[in-house]
Amino acid sequence: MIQVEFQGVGKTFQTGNQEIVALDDICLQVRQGEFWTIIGPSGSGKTTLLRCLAGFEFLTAGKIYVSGHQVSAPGRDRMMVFQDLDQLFPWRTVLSNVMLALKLAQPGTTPAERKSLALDYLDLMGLIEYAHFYPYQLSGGMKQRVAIARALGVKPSVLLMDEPFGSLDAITRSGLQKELLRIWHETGVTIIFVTHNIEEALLLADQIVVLARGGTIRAVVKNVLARPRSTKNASFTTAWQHLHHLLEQSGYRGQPGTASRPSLDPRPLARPLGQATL
Amino acid sequence: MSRYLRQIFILGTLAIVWELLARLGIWPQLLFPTVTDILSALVEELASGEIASRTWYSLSLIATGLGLAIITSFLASSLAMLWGPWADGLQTVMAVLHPLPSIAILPILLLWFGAGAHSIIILIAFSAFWPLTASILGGLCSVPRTQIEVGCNLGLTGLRLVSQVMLPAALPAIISGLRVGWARAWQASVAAEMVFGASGSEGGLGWFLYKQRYFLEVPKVFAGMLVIVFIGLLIENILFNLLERHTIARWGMSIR
Ligand SMILES: Nc1ncnc2c1ncn2[C@@H]1O[C@H](COP(=O)(O)OP(=O)(O)OP(=O)(O)O)[C@@H](O)[C@H]1O
Ligand SMILES: [Mg+2]
Repeated sequence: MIQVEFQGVGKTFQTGNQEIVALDDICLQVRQGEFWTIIGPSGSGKTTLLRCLAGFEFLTAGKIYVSGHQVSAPGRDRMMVFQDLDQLFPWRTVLSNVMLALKLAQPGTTPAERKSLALDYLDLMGLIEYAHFYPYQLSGGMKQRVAIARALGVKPSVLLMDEPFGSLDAITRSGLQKELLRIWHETGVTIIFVTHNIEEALLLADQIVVLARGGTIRAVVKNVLARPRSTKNASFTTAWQHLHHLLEQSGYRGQPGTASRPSLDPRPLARPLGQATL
Repeated sequence: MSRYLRQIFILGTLAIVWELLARLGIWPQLLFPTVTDILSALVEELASGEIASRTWYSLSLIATGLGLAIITSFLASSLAMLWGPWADGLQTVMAVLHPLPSIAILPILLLWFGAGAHSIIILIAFSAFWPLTASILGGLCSVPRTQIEVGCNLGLTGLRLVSQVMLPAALPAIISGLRVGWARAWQASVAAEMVFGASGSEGGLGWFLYKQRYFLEVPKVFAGMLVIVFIGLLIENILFNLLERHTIARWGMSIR
């Protein structure tokens, strides 16, 4: 079943008298339960793509459907784990951050039920000892894990993750990659995961979207490596080199990139960017 | 602790200098009383219960006026987050009325509500409302966008988003607004009672100062001022510091 569908999605930002094309004619079809990663140079629109799907941005072209419904606003069926480290509510403890999500997602439960459920999710992310800490007392990586626990607590059908492991050390990162894969197997949640890291993309994903400068899709690569995956075998190395090559063509290090185009674009512009989230 | 000791030392030095100046007799003792005179006047007034009842009266007016200001300010600011035209209107009215020294509206209040507790309460509420609203609005507008988006993502909208995410996130600004609001309210109550002069038998600390000046009881005027300063410091250092310690300091939000 197709769960997430991008139909010719475009997003143009207007800053002053300059137009920035962040996404251009994005078409994707993600099946239920698939794991997708999005990779591409900085500024290629990875975050914007997730934000559009999460419902935080007006599209300037095209449509996005999730489970057959057109995306028009944020919703609990699509939980986003942000790139920023200030996404936890600082006035709530780690436990209370997760419990708030549970309370909103499952209003029928009692506080005691929510507490034990929240502790389960924290345990899953290896944070049980930190349940009563406030966010400012955590390291960046721990904050990110709490955010993941909180998002999972809502039981979304699609989990959107924007470089969630970017600030972690290699060992923690690979541990959490395994955890994430386990959670993905257990829950069957569809995951769309942004990363800068080719290896991470290859270890995790069924499908890898390579974005290019200018917000176009350079390639969608089906990842046929057998699970569980290891970086050590030869087919992994071949796949890595293939992706690396694609990325190099996507506009790194000031190269023009295949997608760069004249900035004159006759398409209609966005509605003004108000405080739309309220 | 050494900070408190240093402060006590400075205050003690000032008191000694004052006492010496007063005893030198450069100015008439009637207008420039000694510290000992002031303290004995304070003790006398404390013993008679006069100062206590004046203080109580002032504080009860302030509690009413400030309470009114806090409630209306929270309502007005929250509504501004929900409805754009209201926000624009509030900003505009605030730009006009915030710079107005609040005591300047007293004549109108006297005409509308008469010389009595009502006018003072409204003046207090008016003086505290604008700085408080300015702080709350400022705080609400600088809530990190990510936190608001997380709230939306979790399904919070409207008033629930404001109360569950935006107001707590704006708490540092809200507390500093409360500090300013309290100070303005305190000033307004003292100032208003002095303008009122001799109306009514009841009155607060401002009225106490005014009356003692009338009888040329200068040590008692100073004693009243000491009480005003003392209460100001008490609220500032005990109430607000406690509030901060149990909220924003505990959450690591105090440093912005
Ligand atoms: N709110 C905004 N206003 C104007 N331009 C924006 C806005 N958000 C993003 N952009 C622009 O859109 C383009 C894509 O940004 P985006 O954040 O999606 O990139 P990214 O691929 O996530 O980059 P990174 O890997 O560095 O996180 C950039 O050129 C950026 O300048
Ligand atoms: Mg990004």
